[in-house]
Amino acid sequence: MSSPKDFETLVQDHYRDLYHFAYSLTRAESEASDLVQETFHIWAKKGSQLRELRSAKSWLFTTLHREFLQARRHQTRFPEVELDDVQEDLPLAGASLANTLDAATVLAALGELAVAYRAPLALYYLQDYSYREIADVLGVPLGTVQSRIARGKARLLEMLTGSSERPDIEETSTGEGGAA
Amino acid sequence: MTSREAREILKTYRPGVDWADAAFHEALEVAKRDPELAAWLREQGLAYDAIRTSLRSIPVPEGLAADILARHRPNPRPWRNILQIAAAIAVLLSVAAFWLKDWPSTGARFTDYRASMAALVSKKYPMSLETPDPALVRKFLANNQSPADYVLPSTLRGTPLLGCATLSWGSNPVSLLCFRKPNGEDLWLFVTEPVAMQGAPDSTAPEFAEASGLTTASWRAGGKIYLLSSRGRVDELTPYLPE
Repeated sequence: MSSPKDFETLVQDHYRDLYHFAYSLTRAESEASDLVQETFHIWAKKGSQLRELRSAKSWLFTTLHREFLQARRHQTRFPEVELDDVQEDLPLAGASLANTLDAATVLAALGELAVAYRAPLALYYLQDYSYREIADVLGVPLGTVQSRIARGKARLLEMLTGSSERPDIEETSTGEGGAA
Repeated sequence: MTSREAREILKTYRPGVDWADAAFHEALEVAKRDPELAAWLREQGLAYDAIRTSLRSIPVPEGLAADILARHRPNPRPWRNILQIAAAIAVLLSVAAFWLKDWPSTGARFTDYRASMAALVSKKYPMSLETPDPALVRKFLANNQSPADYVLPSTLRGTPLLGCATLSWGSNPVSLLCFRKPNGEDLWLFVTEPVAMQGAPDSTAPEFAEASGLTTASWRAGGKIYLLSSRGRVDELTPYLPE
């Protein structure tokens, strides 16, 4: 995985998925592009020691997430929604969502969640990773990932469908670490 | 498993992704038997697809991949040039060091020049350029401020060329051309500008001498001093001299 041709193949195979993940986290084109570029830059310096492409993809997502968290630590922190209380059941709005939803709406709702929920949810929706793989990418326990996806998904659907009163929320400035 | 328990499990089920995950199998079986749960699951599937499609429709900036690749694309030409230049400098320095080690700073004599040149090629030495192309050799020497407007004896012009080296005599440049005789032995021709060297040849008539185990012939022509050397007898060198 060290030849220029291999590197080009790696970029072509994964840059779109990485960008979607980065944009889901940042909601800013320039920041997302920088994250993707930096991720491949780090790969070029270190990651090329990995031999299996399957490992390479997870490595890239893990690295991008870690870089995102590190960048956030140097930025002004904005309040985010911590999920203390969500509906017990998921709203029934699949058909209407299919007709009305667009990326901006989803991203706006996703952006209101804490990073601890946003990152696993983005991987949950964007990628075909198993829960174990999502846990490995984010460097958190499997049970934590399952819980965050369940709670984050419920809150996201509430926001997208307006199906309930906003639950009690706690505004917090903490982006969560947990990088691998 | 009750329908309520199955619904709890299926809250995070992704159609088309999680079907092989054993954690959902029992709950999915329950949904097959419970129409209300099945309808709820279909709704959740539609919502999942809608959100997934929306996120995956985020436009990726044009040129992002190109920017990434441009940042890391190897650019072999500059490196190759740098390596070539570094190699040439190393050769020049090594040859110069070899020369300056024994070279008299003042009162230079042609016999010293001849002896040093012969000593240089009598053992392993670095070539600055290896090519059989006479034009390339001449161009290389000219580009490196080494004598390049030399006139080769006719026989030597027809002798296979191996390459050249750029040397110096104090502050005066010396060109070395290496040829291969039909018997496999080498011929070395040194060309330099006339300098204040005691005993330097002053005509086109070759002067023969032995130096460092080599047979040498030297002459002056067209404003240059030529020194041809090879292993073997004088009569073996003679065919390569000016007529």
